[in-house]
Amino acid sequence: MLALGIELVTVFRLDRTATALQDRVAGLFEESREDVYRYLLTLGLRPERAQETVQEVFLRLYASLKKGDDIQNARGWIFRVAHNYGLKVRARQASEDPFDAGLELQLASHTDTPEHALLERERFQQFHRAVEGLSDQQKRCLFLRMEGLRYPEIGSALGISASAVGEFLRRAMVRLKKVRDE
Amino acid sequence: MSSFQHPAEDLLLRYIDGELPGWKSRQVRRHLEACWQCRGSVEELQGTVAECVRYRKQMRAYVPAPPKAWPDLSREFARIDASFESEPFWKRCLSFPMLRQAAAGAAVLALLWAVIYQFQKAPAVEAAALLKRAVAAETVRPIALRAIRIHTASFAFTRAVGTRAVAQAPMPAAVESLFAKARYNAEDPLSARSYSDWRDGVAGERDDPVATVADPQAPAESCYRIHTVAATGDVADATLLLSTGDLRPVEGRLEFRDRNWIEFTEITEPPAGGGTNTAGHVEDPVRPVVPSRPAAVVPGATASISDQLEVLSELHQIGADLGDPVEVTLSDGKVVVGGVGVPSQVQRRIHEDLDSKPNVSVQFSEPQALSADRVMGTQDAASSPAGAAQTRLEDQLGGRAEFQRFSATVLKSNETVMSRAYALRNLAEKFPVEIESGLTANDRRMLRDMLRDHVSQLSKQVGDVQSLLVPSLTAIGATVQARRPAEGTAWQSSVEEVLRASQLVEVRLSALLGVTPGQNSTSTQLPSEVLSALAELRAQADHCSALVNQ
Repeated sequence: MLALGIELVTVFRLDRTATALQDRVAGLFEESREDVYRYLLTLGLRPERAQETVQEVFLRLYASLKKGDDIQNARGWIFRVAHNYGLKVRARQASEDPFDAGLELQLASHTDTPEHALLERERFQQFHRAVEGLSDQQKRCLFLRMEGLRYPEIGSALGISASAVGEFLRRAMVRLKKVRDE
Repeated sequence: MSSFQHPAEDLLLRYIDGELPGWKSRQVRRHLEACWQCRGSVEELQGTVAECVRYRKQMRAYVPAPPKAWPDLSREFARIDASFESEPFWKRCLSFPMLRQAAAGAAVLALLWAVIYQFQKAPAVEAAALLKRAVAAETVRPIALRAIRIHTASFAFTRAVGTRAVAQAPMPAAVESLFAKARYNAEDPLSARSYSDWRDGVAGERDDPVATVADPQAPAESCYRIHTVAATGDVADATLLLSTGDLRPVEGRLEFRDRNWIEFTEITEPPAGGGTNTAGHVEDPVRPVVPSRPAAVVPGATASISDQLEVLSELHQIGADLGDPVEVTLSDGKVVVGGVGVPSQVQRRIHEDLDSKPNVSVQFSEPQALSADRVMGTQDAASSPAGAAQTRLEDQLGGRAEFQRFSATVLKSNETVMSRAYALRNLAEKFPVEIESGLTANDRRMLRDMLRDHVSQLSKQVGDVQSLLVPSLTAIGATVQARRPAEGTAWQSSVEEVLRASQLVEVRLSALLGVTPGQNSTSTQLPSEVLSALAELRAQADHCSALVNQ
């Protein structure tokens, strides 16, 4: 009751301080923006679009918290919104040149590395090709899982059940395991 | 799962990901303590997980850096603050969690009071009124052939109802006499009229308050549950589930005082092989239904790929290879049938059909529930105005309501396409070329029958989706540019192409119809892309069908 009273007083005084909230979202932005940016590239967004999308996602987070939404797991929320909003942006950019993640080009430019690094890169390339060979849903489940999301959170982002997430992940792991064993 | 039954790989993955419910997790842990083989499997999985982590780290070095420096968001925060403070007073009040909860709490209490008041006042009247409405709806509904599954402790069979034109085998005498004892219409048990007639003929009946429950066949839908307790007569109580949408009966059950029972359920899809011969198919008596348990394993016997194929065929017969995440694996000399989140009705059917088979183990587990706030969060994040293509389609169809009906029909057909495509993929994964070439002629025939059925049903559904979409989309200027199907000689690789094409259709359809969160598109090309994807899928399915029929 006391807390309710305090809130009522706050509404009337309209002096809700935004500083703590701003600090919290700014901290999350700094901590997760690169991860979200990379995830958006894997969805096929061009780098400039991906960067704009990251900013939009964090502004949406701020607006939602400001509205009083109870967001328990901010990271899960961020990736879910990034996924949904990212697909929308990707659909809009369809008229532009489709973005090739650029991974291969970047890899090709690293030719002057020492031998052990070359082997390492070869191994990475092999694994990358296996990941690229997964179905879209398997890839999305895998990338979101790599970002630390739980099955229900991934399911919520992709609009599928948690058990379907488990099934997609299992199939992905079976395929990746084959590459690892080669 | 006893400590000697090896958990399937999906269970192990869920275990290491901490996604199993506590009791199941403890069960797997106990098993792992005793089993070197499974510990090895877990280590392999952990190794692949570690490789993924390594891959993610390495990827940082290779992906292009953000083109610009990251901005300071504080100016944007200030803009949001300003727009928030310009909102009306009541909206600001609702933005405070406790005030919002208090308002929601008051609304819930008021609703609860209204519900309790209504039930205390006249529950029987409500059940009676609902039944009356259902009987009226039944009277005006067009007569159509329906397949009803009738189940007792000793028999399970399918009957055709809804028309007198179909000749069918007589009902087993024991079941007929049960219906007679209950004074219940055996000709059309799953009907509001039959239930209402039975209820009217019972002395001292009492209806429980009508409850709303999930539809056992389609958990996303809901049903009204009418439950009547009889004071006299052989039947102790009866239940009828009516779909909340159109008051169509979907399931009924009679419980006798001597512990006998009859259950009748509508089968939404033809039960055997996707065919249409639902009339009068009487099966052999089945064993009495007992609580779920793993099947007995014959000592010394070992399951083969033929046994696995037979189990897959059984699941196919009851439609359990569609949509539900049912997994069939060969593990440690047994065919293990399992899955997480499989609907209880499907689980029950599988247990009934497979528990008595030697060397078959049936194990299901339940996923953790998804919390409501997370679901709401998605919807909130996903809401956005409809795209240009969608708006044009709405105009073409005659408004929002028409569009929604159209969208629901198209998506339902497409869901069937996806389930068939995944079922095909499942078979391709289990029976690659080298395994298939080692099958006996009989097993090979069984496999090909399943494949043929899936491909023909898939093609039919794709045709249905096309016939729904082509007129409307071409009317708004869409054109078709179909790619030639990939050329291959193995049905397994063709199945992969079918699945890929199905996924493309799903993604584009979801974007066009604006039903997948965040995929509303403004692209004017989308209608053409949808039609082209469908044409490609049709071509891939035809190619696959030709390979399967070779």
